[in-house]
Amino acid sequence: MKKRIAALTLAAAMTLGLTACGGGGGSQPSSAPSGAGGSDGQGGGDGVSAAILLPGTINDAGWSAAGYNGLMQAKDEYGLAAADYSESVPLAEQESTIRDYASRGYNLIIGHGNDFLDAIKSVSAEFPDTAFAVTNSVVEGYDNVVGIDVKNEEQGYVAGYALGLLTQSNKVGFVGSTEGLAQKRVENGFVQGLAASNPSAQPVITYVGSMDDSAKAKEQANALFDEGVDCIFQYAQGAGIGVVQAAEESGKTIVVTSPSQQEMAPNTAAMYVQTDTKQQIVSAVKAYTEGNFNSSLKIEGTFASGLFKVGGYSDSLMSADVQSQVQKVVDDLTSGAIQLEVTAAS
Amino acid sequence: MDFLAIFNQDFFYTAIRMAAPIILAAVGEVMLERAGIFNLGIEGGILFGAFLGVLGSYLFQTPWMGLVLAILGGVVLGFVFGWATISLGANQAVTGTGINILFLGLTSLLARMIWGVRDVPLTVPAFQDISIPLLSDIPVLGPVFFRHSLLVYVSYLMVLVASFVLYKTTWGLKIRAIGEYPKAADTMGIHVIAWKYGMSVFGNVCACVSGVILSICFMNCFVDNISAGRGYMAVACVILGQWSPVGALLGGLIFGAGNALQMRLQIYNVPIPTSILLVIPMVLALVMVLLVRGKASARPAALSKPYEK
Repeated sequence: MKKRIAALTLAAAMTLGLTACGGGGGSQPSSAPSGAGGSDGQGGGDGVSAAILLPGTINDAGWSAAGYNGLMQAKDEYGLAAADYSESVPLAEQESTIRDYASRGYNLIIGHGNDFLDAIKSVSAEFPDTAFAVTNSVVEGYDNVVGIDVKNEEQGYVAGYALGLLTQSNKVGFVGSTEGLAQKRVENGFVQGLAASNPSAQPVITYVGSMDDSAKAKEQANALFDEGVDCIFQYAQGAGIGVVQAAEESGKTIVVTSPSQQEMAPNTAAMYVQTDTKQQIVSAVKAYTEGNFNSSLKIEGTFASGLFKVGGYSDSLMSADVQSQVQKVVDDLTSGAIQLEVTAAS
Repeated sequence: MDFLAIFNQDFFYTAIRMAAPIILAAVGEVMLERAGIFNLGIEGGILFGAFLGVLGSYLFQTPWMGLVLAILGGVVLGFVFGWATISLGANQAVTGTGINILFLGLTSLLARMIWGVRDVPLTVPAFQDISIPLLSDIPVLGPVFFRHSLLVYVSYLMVLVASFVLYKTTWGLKIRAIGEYPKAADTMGIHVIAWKYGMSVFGNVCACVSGVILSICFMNCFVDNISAGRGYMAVACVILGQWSPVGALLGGLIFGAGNALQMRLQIYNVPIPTSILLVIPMVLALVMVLLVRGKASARPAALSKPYEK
């Protein structure tokens, strides 16, 4: 009997631990947000509560961090009643997580990435009063689902273009995390950019196969360097920190995805190409609070709409000439003078 | 393309390096399972150790304190796991799974509480690679075998130590007896419970130190879910290696070499989709399991059965 009580206590302790983790993920606010749900949910930012589902973690300095930061800034700007998030949502739990948020009265639910599209489409019909947005997607024919079309190619293009100018060995590496649509689009843009600036350079495309495994990503980067690659664009999300470290340790040039990563590799990070989803999420929240959230709403993620930020040109790695060439490409992408081939969703 | 060019010096270096944390965790698990306890919670142990390693190195500004803290954490974890599975007789697989889930959340949570939600993780002092004098100058072999981090050497040494203890000492005989038929061992005057606790502590310390290899040897920071499934690979290596330390070593090397291979196949741009290349280590392991299954299984007879007098 004594043992049984002890076992129960242990089980209770572990359950508590689990709840604590959930809290850490920010996915389980203690109570449902106020002013939630109903037909009067739209109008006025005060009562609006939003949630975002992320494929990775909020501190990956990449895709998921951009989504998280976007929502948090939108929260401040529009005084949202609640802004919550779920990290590393596995495919099998997408629908249940969305349903959970929707049934707890969240007004706007954002799936950050094309992976969430199917789940959101199937859940959206059950909650006609809830607004859904999916990044990296084009959505048509749904009243309460809006696609945020992110042109990831542009991000990859700038990185590929810059590295094409910087490479000596004409072998330029790309390290991605897992082969999703967003990754593939960045990769395709990267290849186009590299071909544009240096047709004789060869792109070497690799994937870590994980969003977290930074140790493996580091080995992957070192393997690239061993095989004669002399510069890398890292787009490996949370695992990418390993690539940044490998580059700094072996003195090879790298293009990173955030200013903070550049601080980790002060000697070798030539520049950063950052995704700043804030504007897109703010647009979705704004449309919702103003009552304009419907199937005709179009939100784009491009240089022109302020999604991508380029900066941190390193004077020691990039000559003034190279810097101005890269900046010109950024300007041309922003003005629409360069139009990229878009990767279709499969 | 010269296919054999893939198998160069760097390939073997990567293979040996990437295998080390899996091997260390697997050797700990071999000893644990030989004493009749099945610990599925290695993944959690690795995460815990990785976190404590960074924490210790952060607090005291030396990786050695990280190692000390991780070892202490392993001891505590060993006793907790032992208490649940040995003293209370809880289901071992379920307890292990609980530990995995608990530490995946707990380590991320604690890291964010202590260091905040950061764009890039905080870096701490880490163990540097050590070139062994003379030996590291041997052509080809030197760079492959003798330019690793201290704990990588420890991982491989642990295979020898565990093999020796298990097969050449009376301690090993006792451990094996407990795993096969604890009642008989008990009648012979072996303190079954104490030995089981001892192996639980040893296994969990190995898992935690394996985490230290990841966080402050290979890297110098803690990243959420840094273990990325290596604990499960270690469990697989134990089965693959038929519950012997040398078998675990081979299992770990298959994973290491498989990964080193797929990384290079990606670079050589072979016309195979990346997603298929990425599973090469697992496919290799599966094939090996099927091959060794032909022989009589060396699985300890009393594995995962709680012992009650």
